[in-house]
Amino acid sequence: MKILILEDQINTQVFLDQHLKIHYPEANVLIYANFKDASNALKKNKIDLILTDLDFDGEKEFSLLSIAHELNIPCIIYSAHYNQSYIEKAKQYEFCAFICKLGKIEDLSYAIKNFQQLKHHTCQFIHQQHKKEELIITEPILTAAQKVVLQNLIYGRTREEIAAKLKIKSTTLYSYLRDMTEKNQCNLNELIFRYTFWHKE
Amino acid sequence: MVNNYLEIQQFLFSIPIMLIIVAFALMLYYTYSRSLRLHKLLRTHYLSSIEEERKSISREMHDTISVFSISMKNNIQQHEDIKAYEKEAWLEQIIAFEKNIQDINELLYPIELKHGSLFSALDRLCLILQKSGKTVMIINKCYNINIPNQSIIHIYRILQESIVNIFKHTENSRISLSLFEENNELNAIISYHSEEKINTNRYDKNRRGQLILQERLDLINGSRSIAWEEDVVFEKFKFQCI
Repeated sequence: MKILILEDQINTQVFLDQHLKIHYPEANVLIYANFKDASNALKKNKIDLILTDLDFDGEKEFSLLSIAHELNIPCIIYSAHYNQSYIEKAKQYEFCAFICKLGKIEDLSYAIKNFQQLKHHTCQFIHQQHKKEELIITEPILTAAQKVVLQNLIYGRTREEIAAKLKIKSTTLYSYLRDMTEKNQCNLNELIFRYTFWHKE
Repeated sequence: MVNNYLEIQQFLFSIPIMLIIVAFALMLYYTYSRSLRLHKLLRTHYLSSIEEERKSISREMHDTISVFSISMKNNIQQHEDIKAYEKEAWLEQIIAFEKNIQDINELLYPIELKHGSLFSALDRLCLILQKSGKTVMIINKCYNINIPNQSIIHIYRILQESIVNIFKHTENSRISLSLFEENNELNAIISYHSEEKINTNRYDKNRRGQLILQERLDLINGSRSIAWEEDVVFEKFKFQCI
């Protein structure tokens, strides 16, 4: 079995090499610190697994991944990046696993051990980073007319502008606002916040 | 006849004077427009170098922290004298530390802008702020909006600065941000509670953050205004689209 590592930090190279040997003691591990050497090695050798960082020479982030995809070689990404946009971009190249360097080492072990069964797998750290706190926010009770007033406020229109647009008096608008806050037992800011939560999309 | 001659002569004499005045006015206009161009160029350089500086600090932190933490975690895990529950506790602490550093890193330079969009970067900012109990509820009604690439980082920074300032200087822990397109402009409205009536004069234009914010707004031809309605402040930003 031939495994290729692309990683520019020596400490991490050693760590990955040691770690791969635990699971595949017989493996021939080729280690490269730059994209050019790694891509040349890919052309010359039959590689069974690639373990690659993303952060190379600024713009070459996905280049090795792209070659691996063309050659149909399974690829594990081991990077300190964990942004959703990076993961989405990497998905174009059909990676096996995306493991963040900042997570647990067990996640890397799992990916190395099971890479043949994995597709677009992401580690626990990435899941935690993208997990939004569950907010329990009640939907405000509003009439159709009140909703229109609130929408206009959210879009930054002044009271005078809203009154003119809806062809109502300023005093009527004021009573709308008062009714809305009284009915929902909150101030206007909280009402806007709650309405925004329920109408995000 | 003599009178006529003198009148024509007067007119002839006035032509060079008029030409000199026109040339002087043109020169003044040229100098003024050149200084404006130069000022814009300097502003662009200044803001780009701030971003470059932040980017390189963020990159260094990003590289250093991962090398350091991988080695630490590996050493702890391989150490036979450390008890399992102690290992777990230490590793948890290291991971919590890594997360904090990465959050600082992202505030320093929003890496999400590289492969994502302004909106996904703002989402990411809100996620980071949420970890410290501050919630920004975003309502995004921008569909197929074309923002000039060079403006995106400035728009992000303007909104970041304004949002962070609200949390820093007011008691609010819940604010809303609505994004929509109107008249080929991206409108961003931040609303938050304030019992005190606030108007545009509130901005302390001598503060460094506000100065840079204004520089960014001028650079991308953006504008901002503030309105106060029923205990809610509406900070309104307008940014030009393509």
